Amino acid sequence: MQAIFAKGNQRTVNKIVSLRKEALKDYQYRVATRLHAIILSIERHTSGDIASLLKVNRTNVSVWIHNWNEHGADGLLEGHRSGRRSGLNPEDKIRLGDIIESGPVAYGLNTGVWTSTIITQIIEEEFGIGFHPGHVRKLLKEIGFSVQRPTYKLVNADIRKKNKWIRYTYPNLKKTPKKKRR
Amino acid sequence: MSKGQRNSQKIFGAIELYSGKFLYKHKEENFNAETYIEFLEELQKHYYKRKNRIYLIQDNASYHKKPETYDWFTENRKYREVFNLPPYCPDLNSTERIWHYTRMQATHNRHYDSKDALCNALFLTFRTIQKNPNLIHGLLMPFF
Repeated sequence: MQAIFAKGNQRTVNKIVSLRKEALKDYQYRVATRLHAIILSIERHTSGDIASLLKVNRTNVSVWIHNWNEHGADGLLEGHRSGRRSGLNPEDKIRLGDIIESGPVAYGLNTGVWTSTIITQIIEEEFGIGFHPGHVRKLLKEIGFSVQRPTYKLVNADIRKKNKWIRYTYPNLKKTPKKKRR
Repeated sequence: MSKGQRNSQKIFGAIELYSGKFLYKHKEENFNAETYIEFLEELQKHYYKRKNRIYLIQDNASYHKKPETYDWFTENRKYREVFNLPPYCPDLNSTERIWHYTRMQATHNRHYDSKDALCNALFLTFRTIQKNPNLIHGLLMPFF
């Protein structure tokens, strides 16, 4: 049986080197390792050698080389990883979103501000799933909520005078750019 | 400073918005109209140019609005115009940003044994600001 090698010449090697640098910059270490393997393969190392050099499994290397030969650089990119299934269904998430949207007072709580601990308790009551408050924050971000903070309000300030300053007085004081000669 | 005594240092400050040029004056005693006029005279040296009009924006400290101060303003009316900010609006005062920056750089969450050490830290920060106006450029952006 003949050993397989990745297709390419010196020019493609240079291209892959720059691609690998970009991948390292984006913290995609797996993609960088794959590209490294392809470079070695173009330089006529056998897949067994590459596997022992890069400390990866031998079968993986030949799969990467096949992917490279068929799809090019796209074949080496990270695919979608399904991960563990979410504890909440999509319908549950929509319901949770509705609860949060209507505010804590509507839910019968005595505060005006949602916190992740409160929402953790609500999820436990409504859906029977125990999350960590830190994970609830991630979940809320995923649903599309973001943190809102109250701003200062200057109590003693006279709003009408302030608006007059902002709208009228101050803009008239500012330097205006010189008119261009035509 | 610690041990139950609270001392403060008094400093006048002025900032030229478009170049970021920062001027300050340190005083031991309390401020009043006299010391303010002294400071203004000093500002004059830096900005005096013929046919140059200066807009001075000040906040509503009591000694900014004393009759003596206003007399001085009318004397120098030719090349200086004065505007008072609306009352209780520190967010419209650009110098307030510099004080905040100084606080963060020099005094916030730090302990100084003596008055001199505190002053040295403050003046060091002021000097860095004066030498590198680009440090505070971002702070002044809302006023452009």
